[in-house]
Amino acid sequence: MSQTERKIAFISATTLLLSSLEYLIPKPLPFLRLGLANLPLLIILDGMAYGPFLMVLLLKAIGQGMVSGTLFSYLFLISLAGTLSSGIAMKGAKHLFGARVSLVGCSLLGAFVSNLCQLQVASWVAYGPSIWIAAPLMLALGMATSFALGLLAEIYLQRGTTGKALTQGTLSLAIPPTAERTPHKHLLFASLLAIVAILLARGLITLAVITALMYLLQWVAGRKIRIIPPVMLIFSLLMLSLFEPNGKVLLSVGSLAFTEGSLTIALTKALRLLSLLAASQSLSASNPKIEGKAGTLLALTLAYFSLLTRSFRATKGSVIERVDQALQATAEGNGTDKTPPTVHKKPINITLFLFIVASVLAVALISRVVY
Amino acid sequence: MSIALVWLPRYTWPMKHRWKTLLGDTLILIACILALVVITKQTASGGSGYVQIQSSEATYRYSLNVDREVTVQGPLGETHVVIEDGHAHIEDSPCPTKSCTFQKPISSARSWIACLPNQVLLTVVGSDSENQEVDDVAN
Repeated sequence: MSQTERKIAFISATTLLLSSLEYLIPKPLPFLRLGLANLPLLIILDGMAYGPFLMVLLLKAIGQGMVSGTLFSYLFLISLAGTLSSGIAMKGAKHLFGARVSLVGCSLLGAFVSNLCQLQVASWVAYGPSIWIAAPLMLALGMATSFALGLLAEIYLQRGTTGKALTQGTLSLAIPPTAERTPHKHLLFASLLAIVAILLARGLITLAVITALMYLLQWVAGRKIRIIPPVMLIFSLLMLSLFEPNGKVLLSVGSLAFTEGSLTIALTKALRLLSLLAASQSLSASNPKIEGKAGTLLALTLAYFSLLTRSFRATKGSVIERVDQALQATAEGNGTDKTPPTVHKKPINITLFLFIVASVLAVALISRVVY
Repeated sequence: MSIALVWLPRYTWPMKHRWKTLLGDTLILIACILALVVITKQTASGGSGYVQIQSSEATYRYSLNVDREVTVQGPLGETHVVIEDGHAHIEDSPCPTKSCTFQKPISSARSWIACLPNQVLLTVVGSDSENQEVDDVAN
């Protein structure tokens, strides 16, 4: 592992730490994001070449997908589009303007481009063109938060120690112990089969049954089940259905109306997306292994991330001080024991897992015949 | 934000070279605001509206963006409505004179076609009000 590779993995791990920290900050609105994970990207903007920077972007997106279990779903595509486009825009702006632009300007541009790309990809893979109704609000909020983030980055670069050491290349990084996790081949195959079944299924009732089964599968796979995100997804798809009327009017307020056809379409879409998300969670639980150099870098990133989280929990003080201390401790490789984190996970009940996937497949096939 | 306000003077104020970045930052800010205005205008005017079909039994609404054929039930029988190329018209209706089927296809806000014998009324709602035309009553 060369120093550059360690640096790439270390910075990517920092973005993962910050994106999990962002979950802890209370937010007035659920979709208002500060984009804390972009802070390390801004800080290394000047000190890193295009190649490694692109690598950091990819590792950030894939790492976030791995940690949240959404790597094998449409959400990953949206997040990848946002990360890549904003990274390239910020790097490009810094390259073009050089000293004539601050991190505030780069952050503004990055967030704007990222939001545009995310909306476009979201309209392709999940929501349909009516998602653009949300564009003005999303873009305006993004401008406000990215402005604040740019200021934070400028301040951190002058105050924090690790950021400076990273950009000046004076930081030498220790290699963390990596945890070896055994991939479950048949669980991987079964999860992929479930995805095929979800895509084949027809009809609202079928998909409701499949969604229930897929959540059961996610639970059997030992992944945490969250309530708010699915509720938000269903709610937003129902709201968007107001703008694409289709069929019998069930309830109308002024020029907006819930129609039978568009409600059915929205619910079908929501259930299919939720099932696919659950499938992605189950697939993540099977510990899929990525081969080659990218896989090694990803493993290193996740190892740094696990060290960072543990060091962060052990520190005290303000959040910025704690992040700084955690970064220092992880970089030096001290402060924590050298053993990889032990995983206290219940083993997955493979028979039950395969039985649920078989049921999903059966339901999907029956729906093909009935409809 | 309050943190930033405390730190700003201390860390950014004395650094004169910060002014150099003002031009680039302002350019980016202006570009973003311009793009935001354009996108907001587009989404506000976007969507070519929908057609509302009222029959004696129920009310239906369809987007004008998607081509389709709709059949609604009236006292005399089935009225066929066709939506294509952002316009809607009555293709066929079980009324004696069939005059509603000769009406020009409608697309702009508040224009309408009616088949009074079969109690079917087509109205366009929510389209951008380019030029509002008033069709004759068809019976």
